[in-house]
Parts: sequence; C-alpha cells; structure tokens
Amino acid sequence: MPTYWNGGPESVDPKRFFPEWLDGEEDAVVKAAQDKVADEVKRHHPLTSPHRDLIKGNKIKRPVMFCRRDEKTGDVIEQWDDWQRGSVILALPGVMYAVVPPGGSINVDPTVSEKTVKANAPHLLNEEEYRAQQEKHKRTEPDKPAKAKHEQKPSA
Amino acid sequence: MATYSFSDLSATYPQLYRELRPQIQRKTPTARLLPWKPVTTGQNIGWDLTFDGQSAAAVNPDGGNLVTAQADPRTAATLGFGAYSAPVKVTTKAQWTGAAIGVQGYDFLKNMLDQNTGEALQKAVKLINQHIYTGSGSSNQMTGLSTGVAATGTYANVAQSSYSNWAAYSAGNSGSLRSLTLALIKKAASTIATNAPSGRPDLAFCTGPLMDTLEGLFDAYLHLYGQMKPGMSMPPFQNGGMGMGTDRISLNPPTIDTAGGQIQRTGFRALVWESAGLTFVEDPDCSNSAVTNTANCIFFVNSSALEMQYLPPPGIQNYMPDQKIMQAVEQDLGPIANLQFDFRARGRTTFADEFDLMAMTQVVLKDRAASGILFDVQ
Repeated sequence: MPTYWNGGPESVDPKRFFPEWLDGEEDAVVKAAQDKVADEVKRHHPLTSPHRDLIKGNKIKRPVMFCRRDEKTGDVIEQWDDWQRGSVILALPGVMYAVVPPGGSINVDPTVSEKTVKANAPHLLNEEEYRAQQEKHKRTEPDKPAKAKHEQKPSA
Repeated sequence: MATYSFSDLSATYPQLYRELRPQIQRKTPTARLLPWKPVTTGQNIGWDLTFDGQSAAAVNPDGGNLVTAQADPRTAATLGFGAYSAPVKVTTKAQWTGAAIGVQGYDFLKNMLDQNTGEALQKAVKLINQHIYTGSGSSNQMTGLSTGVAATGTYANVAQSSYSNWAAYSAGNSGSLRSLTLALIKKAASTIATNAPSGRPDLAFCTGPLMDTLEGLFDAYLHLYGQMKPGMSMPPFQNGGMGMGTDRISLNPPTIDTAGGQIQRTGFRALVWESAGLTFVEDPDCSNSAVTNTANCIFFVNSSALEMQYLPPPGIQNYMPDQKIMQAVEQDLGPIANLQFDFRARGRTTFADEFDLMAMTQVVLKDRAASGILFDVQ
C-alpha cells in the first residue's frame, strides 16, 4: 500500500503547475515560466491553515461526509480530529479521510492514483520525494563544531 | 384624571396599516438554473455509461496479425430519489378571527392557509437547493454534488475504483486556504475539457465571497455589460483597453446560456467569462460536504450533463377532494420550471386544518468526468 508523507510548507513542486504548452519553447522562455509558476506557488499555495471557524484549540471539525450518523434518526454526529498547524488533510470521498501531522505519514488505498492524492493534497510526498527531501535537509544542516581538546575523551 | 391626550388614548388607537416583511433568505439560484425533467423509468433514475475499452492498433497488412476485438464496456448508472415534505397547519380560530378583520392593511391575516402554503413551498424548495450540493443519499436525502463531483468513490452505483474514468476533476490544497487565481480556474476548465466528451464546462457555482474575489481578479480586463438602451454602444477602444483585454467578462447579463436554452437571470449574480466560455453563478447554498473548507469551493459543470429529475405526483384521486398538484415557487421570484409538489390534507384530529406538501426529486450528474471541484480557495 503506497505511503505518503507530510512534506511541509515547502513541498509543493512548482513543476506540477507548469504550463504544458511550454514544451518545446526556448530555454529562456521556459525558465521565465518556471520562475513565474514558482512565485505563484509560493504566494498562493502555502500550507497555512483551514478556515478558523473549523478549528477549536487543537481539534479540527471533520467534513460531514466522513462523519458517523445516528442509526435511528440519520442525523450527523459531529466529529473532531486532532490537528496542529502544518497538518495536511487528505479527504477522498468513498475512500478515506485523514489528518496527517507534520512529519507524519499515511497509507492510501492502491486503487487511488498518486495523481489524485496529490491533486487533493499537494503537500503529500511519495516515498521517493520524501527520501530526497530528507537527504536535502541533511546536506543543508551545518556541520557540528569539533570538540575542544580538553573536552575530548582520552583514547584507550 | 384621563384627558383627551395621546398618551391617555394611544392604546385605543387602531393600527391602520401593517406590512409583513420576511427576514429569511430562501433564494434558489441553482434550482432555478437547472433543467427539470420528469422521470419515466419508475423506481429509479437510470442511464447507461460507456468507458474506454475499444481496441485499435497499427497493423501489418502484409500477413501481420489481426487486432483482438475489444469493445467499450457498458454499465448501468442508477440513482434513487430524495423525498422532501413541508407541513401546513392553521388552527380554526386563527382562520376565523383573521378572516373577520375588517380594518384595511391586514390582508396577511386574512388568507393564512395561502400564506402558510406559500412559505412551506419556499422552505421545501430551499432545502432541495441546499441538498443539490450536500445531500447525503441516505435518510431520504438526494445524492448531492458533493458525492457526484469527486475524484473517488461510488456515484450512481458505479465505483470509480472499477472505472478510472468515472471521476471528476478535483484540486485542493491539503485543507489549507489559498488564493483563488485565474490560472487555477483555467487549469480546471482545460483539464475537464481534456477528459470529458462534452468539452469544456460552461457553468460554475460558488458562494458570494468567492464571487467577490473572482470579480476582483478581472479588474484589469473588465468589460462591463449592462442594460443596453436603444442607440447605446460600448466603445471598444476607450481608455486603451476596455473590452480589448485577453480575458473579457460580462457582469449580470439578463439571460444565461446553457445547453438547455437561455435562462432568465433573476435574483442572483452571474459573471460571464466570455473568452473562457464559462458562466459563474452565485449561490449562497454552494457547499461541499466532502472537504474541510466547505464553502471555499467552486463547482464546474457542463450544463448538458447536469439536470434535475423529479417523480411526477400521481394524478388527482377522486377520494381525496383536498388533493392538489402545486407548482414549486422560489421566494419572490415565482415558479421553478416544472417541479411539482403533491398537496394533501391530513385527517382532522384537532381544530386545525393540516396539509402536507411533498416532492420527490434528484440531481443527476450524467457525466462525472465533465465536472470538477476546485476547493480550499478564498
């Protein structure tokens, strides 16, 4: 079963919003389009938060379609899920609903294509993308400073 | 000691004129816009679907192999009905005392049965309009567009997991709100056009705040359309750009073009994006019960693939003298085309006249791939 990870605010790939009609254009035109799309993604697709009316403390209201209903009356039983800033919400009607916290992951039914998952929750990364993101974070972390001589343990 | 002063006599002054002003919004733009058709298939609404499966290949005519025959698979789609009812009840004393009022200006107390019936009709039609979007398909509700316009799940008894093309376009932002842009809308319309046999969507529904945002996106290219008076013309080159921008829109045209014909635009805002061939309609009831930010969404549909179907009430029965068939009405705007309600009296058990209005109806999205939902936008 495919697993998707919460990639965080920087995980939306501008190339996925890349206009298809630019294939075959000159490099300068392609570069300009990429920069424009990257800027648009940064401004218009941030991972901020859902509507404030849906959040109470560290809980978020579940959409009605995914809530249980009273057996006798059919009325919706309101449900709230754990939420924190940076969580990704994946709602696939008829399949699943999940709130993925920062650093978390979710298994998705294999009948749902990756394209559909990313169209609904673009901040979810597949395994390959997540590993690449982790590697990138490791490379960009500053090297730890060497210990001073008097702090070093004596060799055996 | 009493005197002939207003303060002493005011309680005895009659109220010569009173006006009844409703404070309830019961407008139904979507129900007014969609075509209404009677069901002739009885128990369920049914239609058939074909999906891709037909084989075709380049062949070697010089003794090469024949192509294995494979046809497009067919499957049946079925939907049930939602049943909507509203009661009417006026007590005997209220009717008698109201009818006896002889003072001018109290007409709303003299025809209480008509008043209550009208209000009940408007309320039932309003509920139908809401359930066009959020109907759950259970508990006698119709199956709304929240279920139909989705990239996954079963709709009309056809599972998307079995037929991958039985999916609408769906684009969100992981539950977080983002800015609405023209690029998002263009991408939605273009992707739907690629997937759907009926081509680009021509109608889109959204709430008022999103309509305000949408209007703001066009400020630089605005081409205003209004009630053209005889002899009036719109200068095409005024100010170096009016009407000449790449993206042209018309605000609030008198009629809206759909596959079913021209519909009068009464009681709601509409924005016609001419260069995209898309009409945006404002409906306060537009909502998606399958997403986190329920009101922050735009539904894209093709008017040739979306309609309302209703079960016509049975004819007047001889043994039910109080039975009528009534035309559905929208608040202040008159009849909703074709939708009929059955109006029947209950057996009297108290000193009151009680009736029930009922209609059975369903929103039918015939081509799921011809629709789309853009959500998490503001």
